[in-house]
Amino acid sequence: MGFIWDTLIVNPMINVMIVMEQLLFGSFGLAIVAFTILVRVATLPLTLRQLHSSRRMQELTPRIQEIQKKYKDPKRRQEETMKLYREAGVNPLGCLGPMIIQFPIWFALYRVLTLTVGGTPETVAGLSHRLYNVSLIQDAVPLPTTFLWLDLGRQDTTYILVILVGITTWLQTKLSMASATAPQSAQTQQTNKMLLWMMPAMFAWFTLTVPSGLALYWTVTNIIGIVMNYFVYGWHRKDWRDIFRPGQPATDGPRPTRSAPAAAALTDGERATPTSKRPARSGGSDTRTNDEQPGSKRKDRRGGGGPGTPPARSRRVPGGDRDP
Amino acid sequence: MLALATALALLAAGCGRIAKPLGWAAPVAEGDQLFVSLDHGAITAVSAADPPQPLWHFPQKDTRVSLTVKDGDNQSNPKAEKLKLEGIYGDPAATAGMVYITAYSGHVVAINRADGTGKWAAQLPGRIIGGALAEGGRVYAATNRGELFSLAADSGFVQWRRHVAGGVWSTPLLVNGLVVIAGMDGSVSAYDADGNRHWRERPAARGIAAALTLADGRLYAASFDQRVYALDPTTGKTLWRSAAADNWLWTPPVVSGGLVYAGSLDGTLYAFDAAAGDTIKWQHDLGEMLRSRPVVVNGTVIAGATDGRLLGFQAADGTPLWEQAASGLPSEPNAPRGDLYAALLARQNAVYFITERSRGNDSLYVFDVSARTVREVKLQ
Repeated sequence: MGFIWDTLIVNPMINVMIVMEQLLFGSFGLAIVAFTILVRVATLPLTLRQLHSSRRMQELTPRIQEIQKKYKDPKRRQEETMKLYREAGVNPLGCLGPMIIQFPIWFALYRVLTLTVGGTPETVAGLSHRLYNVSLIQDAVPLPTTFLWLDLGRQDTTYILVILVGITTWLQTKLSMASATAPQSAQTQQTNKMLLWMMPAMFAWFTLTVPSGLALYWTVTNIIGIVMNYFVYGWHRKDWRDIFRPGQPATDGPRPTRSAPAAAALTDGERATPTSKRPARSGGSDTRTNDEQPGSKRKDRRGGGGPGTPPARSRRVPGGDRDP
Repeated sequence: MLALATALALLAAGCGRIAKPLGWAAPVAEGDQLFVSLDHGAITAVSAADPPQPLWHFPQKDTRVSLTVKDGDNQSNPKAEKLKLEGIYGDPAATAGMVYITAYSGHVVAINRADGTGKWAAQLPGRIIGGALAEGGRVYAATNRGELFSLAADSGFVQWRRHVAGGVWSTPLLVNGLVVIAGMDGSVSAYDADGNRHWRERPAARGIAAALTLADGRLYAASFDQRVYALDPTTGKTLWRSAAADNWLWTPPVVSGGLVYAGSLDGTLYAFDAAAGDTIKWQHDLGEMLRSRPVVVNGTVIAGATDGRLLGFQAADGTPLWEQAASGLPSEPNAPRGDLYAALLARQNAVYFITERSRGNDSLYVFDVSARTVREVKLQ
């Protein structure tokens, strides 16, 4: 298994990385930056699917909470929840699929970096079986380990990378959390608050103990994540200073949950117009008007995002009757 | 969610630990002493008696040595500082009264042979992977940044420094009064004691990491381009280049009986014809990487695979003679164990070697070539 993993994934990635190093003026630091961007671009469709799916799940949270309050019978509760998912065109595992597909790529990239930026003579010997017999690649050995002020195989003693990793991790975590437009339980809020500070602190601490080449990778991948979150979650339509205001969602209020066709439309490349005049639902309320019954051809747009958008009409939870 | 994030973060950090430079310095014999790097970044002097007895260790816990050079610059008022040496890759260089070691941390250290006290230490910019050459009151060492340094043997001060290649892993070698050094760009250069370059050639297409070998009036170099080169020692011109091996040639060439032996990282031991080189006289696959320099003892080539096995071949024709199995089995307590990276040392019908395991045990393996038995000798 390890042999297949190395032969099919890790070794090709190492060789591509070294080709990039050769093409980018013999700089392994630039190769790390370029390779990280390349891999993130290659997995962009999966990442976007994951982000959109995750966002739609967040939008459904109030309605799921209402179902949980309304129905005591677990079986009924599950049925209603699944029905809600079906109507909204959301697969509850939808965000997991792309993530699971991406995991091997990230692990491989991580392995590539640990194998190449190690910088010790021992790691060079270990590369001998992994490099293709191509002059461009073989000529690169031993790989250069310096980039800007960094020795890529060593910790950054200037603490600049520590600060960069901390800030970018905080920003990425903040942007993805603040996008949770649905009301959150106190426990979730508490967890998010803890994550917001714990993750940057942890990664900043790790930066002190890992090769700076890895910390460089963390910084670059965080920056790409920040840019994606910024656009996917609608932060670009807001004042950037809102990011630093506590408890600010990406949009001014909770977005309406889409009807199934609308959700489908969004899946096909997010074609729905964000400027729809359709009123957004007020958060927490979850009753449905007749014109939004399942099967209605009227499409709910991803409105509600713009400043000044009036509150949405509430709508009933599909399925009607309540448990006694 | 919190647990998952924490687990992923810990995994990310745990997988990315900084690789520790372990070093692979070989045991070296000089007079009645052996010098062995048992700890990473440390050296032990051992009496060459039977059984070998430890004489001293360097550095000790609180050892302080006068740091005469810092980052390549001479210190006007050198202070005694605590040394933090990293792995020792180059073989120690011993003279009548001193032994000189180089460390991956960039240090060159002069140690008194008599008592193991440090005389001076010079910290050069970059990493040092090759060993030192002590000759004519000077100590020469080169760094992975491609600089060759000449240090005064008595004080440690830098006499001169020259940029010789893109990077250097090899050990300087004295050839006809010149200091010859190979580079990771495939070049070989010769400098006199004053730092004047006499010649520079680039015989190999890729790096020459292993030390050069001078034998039978020729200079031999083994390269990552999978070939051995025979050079004219007075001009550096290539006399011949060998047929291609199956992977990088990692070990220094060993010349004996009209053959040149070299080991590849694919685990193949090659014997090339020293007269022409383009003929592979014989070759054997050891089944594991070959990173340890072989030795020739009484007409037998002895090679050590990285898994700790020693193998003997008839030097002339490559006939396999015996194999000393590596073992982790309690039933074979004397079989060598652990990864073997350091070169073998042949001395008086015995082969001395260390593995990563023996280093951890502060011990040295001694292989009796006649009896074909291995002993593990504790040195603490």
